[in-house]
Formats: sequence, structure tokens, C-alpha cells
Amino acid sequence: MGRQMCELCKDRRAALIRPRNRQQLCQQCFFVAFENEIHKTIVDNRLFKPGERVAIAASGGKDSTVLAHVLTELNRRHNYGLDLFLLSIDEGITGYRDDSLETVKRNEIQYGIPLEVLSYKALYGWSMDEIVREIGRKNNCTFCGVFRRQALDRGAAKVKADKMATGHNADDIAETVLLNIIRGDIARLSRCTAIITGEEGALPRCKPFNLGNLDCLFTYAYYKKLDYFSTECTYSPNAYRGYAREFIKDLESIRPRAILDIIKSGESFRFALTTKMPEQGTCEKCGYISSQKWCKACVLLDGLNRGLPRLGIGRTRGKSSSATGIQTDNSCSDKQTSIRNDKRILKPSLDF
Amino acid sequence: MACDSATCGSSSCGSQEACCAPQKKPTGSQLVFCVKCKEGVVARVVANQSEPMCLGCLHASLLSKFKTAINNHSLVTPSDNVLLAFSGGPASRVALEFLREIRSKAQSDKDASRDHRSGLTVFGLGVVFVNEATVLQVSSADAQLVEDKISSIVCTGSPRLETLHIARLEDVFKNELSQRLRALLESVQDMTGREDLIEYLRMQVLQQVAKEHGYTKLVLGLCTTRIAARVLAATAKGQGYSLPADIQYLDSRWPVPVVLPLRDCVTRELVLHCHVANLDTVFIRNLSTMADRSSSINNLAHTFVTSLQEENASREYTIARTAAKLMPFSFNYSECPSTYLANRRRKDLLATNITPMNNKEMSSSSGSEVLCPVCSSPLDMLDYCNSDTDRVSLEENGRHIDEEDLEYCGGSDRGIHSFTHQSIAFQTVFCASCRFQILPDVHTKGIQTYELLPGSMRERAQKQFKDKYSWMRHQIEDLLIEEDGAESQT
Amino acid sequence: MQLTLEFGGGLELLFGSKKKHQVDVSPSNGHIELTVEALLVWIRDNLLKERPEMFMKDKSVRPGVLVLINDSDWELCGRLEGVLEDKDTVTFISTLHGG
Repeated sequence: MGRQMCELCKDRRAALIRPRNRQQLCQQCFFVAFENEIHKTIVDNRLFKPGERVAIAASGGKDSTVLAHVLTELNRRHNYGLDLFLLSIDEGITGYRDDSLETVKRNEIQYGIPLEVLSYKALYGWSMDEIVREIGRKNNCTFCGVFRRQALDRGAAKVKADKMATGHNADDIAETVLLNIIRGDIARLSRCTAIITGEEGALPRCKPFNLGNLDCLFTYAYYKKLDYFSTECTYSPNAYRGYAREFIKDLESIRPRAILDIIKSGESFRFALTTKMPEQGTCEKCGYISSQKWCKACVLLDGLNRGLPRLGIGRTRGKSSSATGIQTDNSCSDKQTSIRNDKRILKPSLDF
Repeated sequence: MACDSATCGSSSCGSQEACCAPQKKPTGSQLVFCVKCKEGVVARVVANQSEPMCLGCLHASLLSKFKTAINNHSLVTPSDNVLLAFSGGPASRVALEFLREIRSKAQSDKDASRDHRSGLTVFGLGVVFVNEATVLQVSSADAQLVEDKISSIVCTGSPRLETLHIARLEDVFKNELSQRLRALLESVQDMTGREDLIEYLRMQVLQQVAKEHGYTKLVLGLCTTRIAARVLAATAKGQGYSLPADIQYLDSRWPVPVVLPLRDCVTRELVLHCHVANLDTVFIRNLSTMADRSSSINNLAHTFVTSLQEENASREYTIARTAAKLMPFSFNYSECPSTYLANRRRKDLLATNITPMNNKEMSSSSGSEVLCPVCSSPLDMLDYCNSDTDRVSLEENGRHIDEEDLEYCGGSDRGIHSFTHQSIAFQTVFCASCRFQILPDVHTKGIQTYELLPGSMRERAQKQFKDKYSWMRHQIEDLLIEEDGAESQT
Repeated sequence: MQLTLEFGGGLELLFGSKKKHQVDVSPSNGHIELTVEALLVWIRDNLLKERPEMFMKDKSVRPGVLVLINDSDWELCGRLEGVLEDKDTVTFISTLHGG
């Protein structure tokens, strides 16, 4: 079969087919189309204002690398007037974060924007390696997720950012949608597909990638020969997060578009007006937004520092043992805690 | 079994337990006692996630959930004539048992009070089984065997025999054409799409039977576990908008409203109850029997929920509860703003075959929804009115759409390409999910599948297409005027 | 020891479509008692006709398979560690099919 000409310029040969609309495009037109779509998302949703200092959450992975590349490019091309910089979190995971941080450091030079690195160790006094040594490999995902969420906010505040842009990819968002359904987190479920979050109180975050262009991230990174790092975290995920990933992987293998469909579903969920959303307050300990007395990170940290690291993780299954009345070691540690009678802190909800 | 009598309350079940259960002690560990009776009755199962229970209390707990659902949401009233969709599996088997129990209780109440009040009525009960043997191409002898087994279950052990209707999936076509059913299913390449289409066709058959015999409610055995799997599967199919429609206690978008009294019961407990109470079930092969877990999205989602259950016994409840917070549709509420309106609507529906909602003026009234002609799920108006494909067809087309173009969807044999734009617009009368998994490409396979759909579905599609086009034409006219105005300003 | 094994809910398809099996199982070498875990291994090696993944996962039954020992939930009998006795009936029912 002879190669088609690019549907846009009708001049060069088509190099790829866009999954979304089956459009056959040449490389150049694809780049322009993709960048214009992100530009449109930014303009239509008024994601940025001139003069803002914007932190690009950079993990060194494909998505944040594309984001950094495109934002720098668009900022220059369309005179957004943004003060962009890369913000990286060093969880302190040997063999995982070391390598990806190297990538981010190269990005700093490639895109000519400054890089700020903040470590868990500096922010919380514990690196992930140390936490895993303390609690084992079972629930470390909970710690990392909670700490990372806050670390980006704390880091951005520390370096006086007005806003943060994150390059969530489709898999991440789909996984978040599923996890929020599975654990019944209505509040997060209703906002996890939103393009701008945290406008009230917390540092605003935005996701310039949306449904329409997520399918092209990989293609874009590939053809632009972007320098990114891809590896899995060296620690195993929580059981149910593991199942969710397996589910998504299986779905993708029988129907690739299922991932985008999950996000689409997440976007079209409408919650009944009678549904109570938890009230947003601030943590009494650190001042971070929290619907509880203490934010999740402070509860976890408190447990770590007092040698009760499983505090706040919630009960483990204890299937047969709870049925027969045998106590799990977890319920014992709950009893010893000094935060008495505060069920809200001890409730088994997990943070993303 | 004696302890299945309707009166088994938690206080009295201890003695019944002792009389009917062969007390062979569970092996190994020490005895665990029922948390409900507290009379030293030995527990036999673990229910409600972690509570050891005796068999009487398991029965009482399930029956109470069933009754609460029925009473709180008026799913069945004394004047109803109820049709139970029976699959032979444990959920619908338990539903059959419970409906019998409630009915015989109501009957004896009525008999007892005959002297005092005369107006007391007891709901009617019928059972329907839809044989899907044609789908699997099994021999007619095997198909007959399944029907015999179903008959033996339904027609024995009951004080008063219910009517049993046996239908076949191909009954959805006017002349019972199993060839056509096979051709239709084979034309759908996507396995998930094929499974879902079977479900949609089954509902059409159930509705046909219910309507024909004057039933007023259709009971499905959809339980919490199935609902949880359904929620995740629907999410993965992009059906987030319409998902709440299918998982409520009541769904009156059909000519005969559908009710789900088992909505708060989990598979595990239903299966346990069937086993220990000697309720006969029959295992019937279907498309996904013995299939790999990744044969379809539905299968994957169910396996996923089951794995999650291992890790945390309350996951299926949590998932179902999350989905219950999603906004239901007007047809999911039992109390309509005006019962008169509701009645009138029902009459309209009955008059126009299986056309769930009449939408003369779409998107105008808040109450009525436009439904997908194939799966009957409510269409997301944002998708429906502003989809890209529509815009393409409008921008490039620009010309008036004549009535003759509409013949396209009536199955005329004219060439396909001359209708490209209409066909794109036509596709959007279906929901995005059906478009993808059942009618994937209108230029090739989709046409064939469409032609093979039951007449009722195609009639609905045609009607919706006409409505939509007249609505779109209206919109275009509005747009043109606006654009003129804008130009004159600059 | 003599055991009665029952398979239901579609699991029987893995065992030659036979629902009830009378079997004679003895504890493996060096063991005095027969645990459910050991029985599962025995079933996999001696009785299962096809598709072991439809019946087992790792050392246990596949999620969604209910196990009853003498009509009591295995959750109450120590699950895999439960010890079987002569003339016991062990029932396996799949919950993965049908509603």
C-alpha cells in the first residue's frame, strides 16, 4: 500500500496516524497540531496569567518531559510571560530516583529553565529507603503517595511558585479514577479529572494535557527524541493498587482505548447533590489542607517517629483472623496509640 | 429444609438450627458461635464481611435485606403482577425463594383477615427463563435439557406453582430466526460488545414476555457483587454518564419497570445460602464460560472485583456505594412529580412498542432522557449535540438534509458513500459505547450489524435520527442568524 | 482417608463434569494430618482435568471460589490450615458465574 500524503500540508508523506481521529499526518504537522492543542487547552481554560511563576512537576518520566518541553516552547512562541522552572522531588529510592534525577538535570540544561530538587529527607526527615526499612514493603505506597502529594506543594511554596503544572498521563489518571471508585473517595473522584484543582487555599495545580491529546504523548516524545527516563519504582505497590494496575494493563491489551474511556467516565460522573463532600480545613500540625484534624502526612509521620509506622495506614485484611476473633498485629498497634478516640484519623481511608 | 420457613427470626433460629443441621463439627479449630443468636449456636458461615453466623441467621439476614429493598423503594406492591427473570443461578434462585416466602406470608395474612377486610390483595408471581442456547450453537437436545432442568426447579417444592414462561433469545425477532440471531452476533467483532448485545436482546425478550402476559414489574437478580463489577466495566467502557441508570432499585425506563431487590446482597452469601438450604441451581454455559479472564471487559471487571474481595471483604460494598452516589435519572425514582404524568407516560410507552422515552423536543424537558436505541442507556447531551462528528458533517455538508437521505437508516440498498455525512450523524443517535463495540464502523461492518438488529431497535434509531435532524436543522438556522449578526458588528 | 469432594457453580466442568467425587487421600510424606492446603495440591495433581488457573491461584483456590467443609464455611475452619478428617465432605463452589 502506497503511503498517504499528510492530510494537513498535503505536501509531505504521512508518518503517523493519530489514534483519536485516524488522521494521517507528517511529523512536522503532527508537532504543530499537538502543540496547538495544548496551547488551546491553556488559553480556553485560562490556565495561566502573565507573570506567574509556574513550577513544572518534573519526574524525569515521559509525560513531565513532554510537558516541560512543550511549555517552554509555547511560553516562548506565544509570549505567555511565565517564569517557568522545574520542580523535582527526591523520594530517596536508590536505583529509581537517582537515575531519573539525572534526566531532569539534563532537561534543565536542554530547556534552559532552572531546576529545584526537594528531598523527602529534607522535608520529612525520612527517605523512602529508610521508611521501607522501617515498615517493610507492604504499605510503602501509601507513604510515598501521601508524601509526594504534599512534597510538591511544599516545595513549590518554598520556592514561591504561584502555580504548578503536572503532566499526568492517561494511565495515571485512569488509575486514580479506579482507585477512587474502589475506596469510595467521592471527593477525589469528583475532582481527579478536573483540569485545575486546589484553587481555594492550596496551590493551584493544572494539567495541560487533556483527553484529546493524551494519546499523542508517547508519539510526540518519540519523534521529538526527547530525553526521558522510564522505569518502574523498585518497591512493589499496595495489593489493591497492584490489582488496579493489572486490571488496566489487561484492559489495554483487549481494548487500548479503555484507558481514555475510564477518564471519559471520570469526567462525566455527576454526583447527586445530596452527597456530602468532606469539608476542607487545615492541618493543626503543619497547616496543609486537610479535612481531618491532622493531615495524612502528619499522621503517618507521627507514627513513624514514634516507632508505630503502621498507624494511619488502616486495618489490614485479617480475613480469617478477624472472623475468629484473633487480633491482627495492626489492631494492637492502633490500641497503643495516644491519639485516642479519634476515629477520623484512624479511619482506613488511603490517600492517593 | 425446615429452617427456610419465612418465620425464621434471629431469636428462634437457634432451635431450628439444632433440629435441621446435622451437627458434625467443623474440622480442626475450636467452635465459633453465631454472633446474632448469642445462644451458643454454632456458626456455619461467615457473612456480612466478618460475622460468624448460623444458617438461620444467614437466611434471616438475606431475607431482611431483600424485604427492606422492596419496602423502602416500593418495588413490589400488593397490586403488582411480578415477573422474575430466572437464570438458574444462585441469585435469581434466592430471589425466587424469597418472593415465594413473602407471597405465601401475604396470602396467609389475607386468608386470616378475610372476615375483617375484603380488599386485601396479594401480588402475582411468574417466572421467565430466556434460553440462549442458540448463541452457543448447542444441540437442540441440550437446549431442551436446560429448559427441563429449569422447569423442574421452578415447578417443584412450591406450595403454589407459579407460571413459568420459557422464551428464547431469538424471540426478539418477529419470526424466531435463530439464523439471524447468529448472524447478528457474528457481525459484532468485539467480544465485550457481543456479550453486551446479548444482554440488551435478553432485556427486549424479557420485556416482550412481561408485556404480553400483563406483568407490572420485572425482577432481576442483580446483586451487589455484580453491580460492583458492572460499575467498573461500565467505567472502562466510557459509560460514566449512563452508568447510574442501571444500578438503582427501580428502573422504569422500560414498558414494564425493572426492579433489583437483591441490590444489597452479595454473591458469596447468596451462593452459600443456596448450598446450605439445598436450593437447586443449574449451571448454564454462556459466552464467557471457561473463557480466559481477559476474554471481555465484563469478565475482567468481575475477576478484578473478586481479587479485591480477597484483600478487603467490603470492597464490593464500597464500589457499589460509590456508584450509588452518582446522580440517578428521573426514571429511577419511584415518586414521580405527578403520578398522573407517570401513568400517562407509561401508556405512551406501551402504545409505541418498546420505545422507552418519547423525545419530541429533545433536551428541553428535564425529566425525559434520550436513550440509545440499542442499549437504552441515556445519552449524554453534551456528546449528543456537540460531538465532533456532527460538527464535521455540518461544516462540510452545509446543505439541507432531505427526507430521502433519511432512508439510509431505514435499510435501503442505496450505495453507502453518498450518505457518508448522514451516516456519521446517524451514528450519533447511538451511545458512544455501542458505536464503538457494536456498530464500530458504519462504512463496513456496522451497516451489516445494523441491518441485522431487531426491528424495534432500528425503528427507534430511525425515529431518533429524524428527531435529531429536525432539531439540528433548527440549531443551524439559529447559528446562521447569530453569525450574520456578528459579521454586521465588525 | 476417605473424602467426598463436591464441585459446583461451573467448577465441575474442570472435573469431567462430575459434581461428586469419592476419593482416598493420605497425608504426604512426613505429615500426620491432611490440611486443606495439601488437599488442594492433591486435587490439582490427581483430579483436575484441565485449566488449573481456573481452580487455583498460588497455593489457594482462585478468588471467587467458596470452600465449605462439612457444609461449614472454611473461613471458620482455618482456611488453608484447616485439618481434614476421615469421611469429611469438602465443597468447592465458584461464584464467578451466573446471577
